[in-house]
Amino acid sequence: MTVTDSLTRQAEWKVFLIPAPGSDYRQLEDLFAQTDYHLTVLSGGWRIIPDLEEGLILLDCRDQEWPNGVSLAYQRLLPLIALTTRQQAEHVMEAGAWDYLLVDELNKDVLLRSLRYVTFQRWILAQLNARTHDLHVSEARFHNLVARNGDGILVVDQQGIIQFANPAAEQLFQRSANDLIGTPFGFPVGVGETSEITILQSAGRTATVEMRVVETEWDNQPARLVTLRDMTERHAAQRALMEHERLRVALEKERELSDVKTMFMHTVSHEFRTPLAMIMTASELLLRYADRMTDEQRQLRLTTIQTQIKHLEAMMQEIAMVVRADQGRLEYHPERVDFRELVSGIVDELRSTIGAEHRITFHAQPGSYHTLSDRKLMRHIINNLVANAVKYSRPGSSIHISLKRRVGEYELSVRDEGIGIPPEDLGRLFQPFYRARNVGIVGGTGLGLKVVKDCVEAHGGRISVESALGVGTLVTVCIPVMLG
Amino acid sequence: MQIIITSPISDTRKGAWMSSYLLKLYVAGQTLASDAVIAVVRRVCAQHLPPDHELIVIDVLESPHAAAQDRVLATPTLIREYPLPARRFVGDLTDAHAVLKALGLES
Repeated sequence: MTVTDSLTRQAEWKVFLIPAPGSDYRQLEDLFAQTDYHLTVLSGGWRIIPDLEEGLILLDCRDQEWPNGVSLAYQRLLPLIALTTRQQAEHVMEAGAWDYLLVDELNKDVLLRSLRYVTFQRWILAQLNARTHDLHVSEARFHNLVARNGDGILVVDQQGIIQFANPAAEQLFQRSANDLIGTPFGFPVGVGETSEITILQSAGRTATVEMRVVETEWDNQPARLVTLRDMTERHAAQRALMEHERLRVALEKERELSDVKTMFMHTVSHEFRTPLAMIMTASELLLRYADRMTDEQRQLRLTTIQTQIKHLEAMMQEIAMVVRADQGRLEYHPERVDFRELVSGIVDELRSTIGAEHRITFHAQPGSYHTLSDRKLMRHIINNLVANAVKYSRPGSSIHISLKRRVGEYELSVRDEGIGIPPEDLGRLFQPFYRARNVGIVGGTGLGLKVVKDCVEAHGGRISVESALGVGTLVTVCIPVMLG
Repeated sequence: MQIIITSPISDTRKGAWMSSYLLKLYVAGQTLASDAVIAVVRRVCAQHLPPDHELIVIDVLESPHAAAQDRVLATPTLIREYPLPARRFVGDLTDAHAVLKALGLES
């Protein structure tokens, strides 16, 4: 809406003249006749001003009582033009008139300009009033929401100082808002999360509350809005149980993190316990009941013992390798190989052993793949990568192994359609004994990828892992071509 | 357990103001929650702060006066008294990142 629009709409084109006794307004009426404004001469003097709800007021200030009229209109924010003399003009304006017209110097231009000017001012005033009103309404609404909220609400600035506290917060802290505002609460950590905190009330009691933090602004500065929900009584038992579990897990995780050696012992003893128990059971059965068993039954127990011993041995080997690699003593015996034949040979073996329940494909770009490589280490690399792919994906899903020639290196990749690795675990996969948090009940030592990395590095190569949860994992190993 | 000073105390032990970092951790009672917070803050300090840092753990239920003096309104609260400017944090301090942030080691 432009200003002119608003003027045409807002101005009702009505002007009310409050005359001075004994004055003549014929000239003024003539001038008005030449404009679109309509002049009405009122009787009754300045006292009728409160009755005027529209239009502009033209007050003849040659009347001795003019200050009453001007100040009354001023108080009510009514648009008033003073009809006055040069000597008086300044006083009239100071008293609160919006504009003035000189009785002796009236002409159409001056009159129109003044009327338009005052109309415009009144329009601005109306706009201002409307906006102030809206603001008051929304502020009152906001205030209602916050004040009546059952949750304690604090606004805390960047320094952790309380800037605002609602009545529920006063209740929780047992302190008045005046006491709370300006006091350091501490910068609340964990935006978008809830956590449980204990409030120290002024009387020495404590209250357990759930704290929720969101980012906000206060006085144009970034701040944090803290919502505090009293949990002291509500679902106390159930909540305590859940919280207990969460904290127990956190504490356990913390203990593991804080001591790699403990973690080593923990994992090793756990991983060794299962095969040892199986050997124990099988051998005990043999010891007690061998005479009552058929050959077949005895054979079954002995096979179990053999299998478990092999498993233990393999684990020992992995551990020994990691230890050796960590001490820089991993043995690397390169020999001339056709890398493609080497890889496809290992893959063929795996198809009939650990990979029997999966579809394992092998694809190699054509060309020659001569290089120097350690067969034993390469077997470790492929065994472990395929074993991982098998362990963490459904039976029947596919595992794609491919070999490509790149400038100066061969790129071997193993891709599965398994459960994937959480993004936050990707960075720590190569730490010994580290296992992603979604492994569930699938067994493992957390050493496999560490062994792979050590073996790849012995070749002077590099390894990278890409993964998406529920989609699968792609491990890429690059081995530099070496010709001897 | 009233006040535990967990910094390694060496022969050249100086006053608190000489430590590279002076931290106060306020907790309420000997609960699993307190244990978890203390464990995390301790580890983060041990791993990321110079060895002469000082971490004072205060149980507000045991030492209400200390809490009142520091105007602690809620626990867990971690106050970095030194280096200046002093800063204080409240909330889930079992999040190691939050602690690092509190120490000014991560933005």
